[in-house]
Amino acid sequence: MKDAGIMDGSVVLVDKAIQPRNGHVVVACIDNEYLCKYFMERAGRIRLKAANNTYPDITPKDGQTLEIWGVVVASILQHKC
Amino acid sequence: MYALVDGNNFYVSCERVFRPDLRDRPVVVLSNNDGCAIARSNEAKAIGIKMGAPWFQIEKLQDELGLVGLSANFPLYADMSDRMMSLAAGLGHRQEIYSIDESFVDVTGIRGDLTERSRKVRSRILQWTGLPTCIGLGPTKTLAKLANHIAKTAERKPGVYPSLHAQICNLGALSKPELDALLLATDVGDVWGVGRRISAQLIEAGVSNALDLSKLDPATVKARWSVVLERTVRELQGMQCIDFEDSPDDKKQIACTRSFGQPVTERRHLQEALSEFASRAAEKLRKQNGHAGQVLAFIRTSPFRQNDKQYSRSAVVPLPSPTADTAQIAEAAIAILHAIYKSGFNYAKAGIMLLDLQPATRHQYTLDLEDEALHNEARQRLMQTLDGVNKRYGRGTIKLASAGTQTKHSIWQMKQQRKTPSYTTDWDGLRIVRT
Repeated sequence: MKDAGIMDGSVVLVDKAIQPRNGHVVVACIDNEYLCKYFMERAGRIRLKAANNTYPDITPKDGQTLEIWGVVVASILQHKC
Repeated sequence: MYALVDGNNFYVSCERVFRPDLRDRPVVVLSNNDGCAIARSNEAKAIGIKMGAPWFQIEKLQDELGLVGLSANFPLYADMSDRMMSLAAGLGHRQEIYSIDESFVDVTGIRGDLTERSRKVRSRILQWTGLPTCIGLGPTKTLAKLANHIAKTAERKPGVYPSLHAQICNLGALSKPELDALLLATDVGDVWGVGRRISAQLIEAGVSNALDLSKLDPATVKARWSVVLERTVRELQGMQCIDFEDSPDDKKQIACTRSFGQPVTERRHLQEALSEFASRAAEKLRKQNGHAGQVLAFIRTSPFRQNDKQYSRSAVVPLPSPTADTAQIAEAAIAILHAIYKSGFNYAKAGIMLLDLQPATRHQYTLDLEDEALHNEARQRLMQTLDGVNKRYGRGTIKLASAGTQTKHSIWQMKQQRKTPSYTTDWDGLRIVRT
């Protein structure tokens, strides 16, 4: 998620009370794993998009459940020290 | 009208918020030193694991049935509990926090459909914290508790109660015949305040369900059983007898005791443990703004290690004057230890208890008045600073040197080999997310 300003090792602040909308950065849960992606919804179908276009989008396949765990409201970039 | 908001399989649910891989699998949370099951997921209940089952007996189910056993992670549960409680409080205007996972909320006089309101609060708690709850409503605490039992059972075991009561059950919205049908379907032993012994006696007397119990004559119940059961009967009949306690009384006694992860033989290790317990207990005491007049300390071997020589001893010493000073309390505990310690035993447990508790405002000075007053004030400020620093930078940031210098691997620490990180209270425990 480099293009969204979120680097490896960044700390993100997640608000679970926010209803996700198109373009939000979210933490989603798919196949028992937490992922940080852009949230996209069209006609009731949810798609997770990486900030970098070379990564493929993720859409839940049949039998897969996708849960939006929360919306990222801030991120802290950590510097080497 | 009261609501009881209760977290489902609370400890397991807290773990699942941060560990999606634990969903749909049998999970148990274990007591201190990974001893026995103190919380079970529905799946664990379904494969027959009983409350309190010792881990060494069910350990084998890990391979056979995919059981997961976790060490209790109380910093996580306490923090998640705070979040749940603050949202549950929004249901009404007063809240009594009854335990880590349940609270009564007074909803008297709140307009609108209480069932619908409860449903919204439930879904808010679920979305905002990830914790599933059940809410029971009733005109008395006993009926609210019963409604909660119905809400939980209707969700987990379909068929016992009508499924419309799953998750939210509002006894206040039912007609008399509907209410009676629910009471009839409830075992008398599932009524709040009816213990195992009383329940056996009641069944023998032909009172097997909550409806039968509610039809007993309170005066007869009082004569034949107790005032406590009389109160339960009246509450089932809709008469409020149990007070709502939104400001819990100060504790009459503060204890900090623990079993060790492995046998401890040396006095210096016991001294470290007791110093640490004294600090914790004194901190609790200061939180309720109290002073202790006496300190009890004990050490003992394990009765379960039958090949070991057994020894158990405790003693109480009075403090020079009532205090909440960590150093003075630890000093008293260490003095006791020196008096009761004997070498050559495998000690398994130690603890301290603060007795003769009184409000800090009621203070009697001993004779050397002025010096002591000045000294006390300085010590009090020292303790405030200590609590402030430890609250801000984490427990044990400043501690007594007698509590030892190692933090995580003292010999007397608990065995907690299966503990998850403190996701919400420790920077090093943050959940890792992939991008």
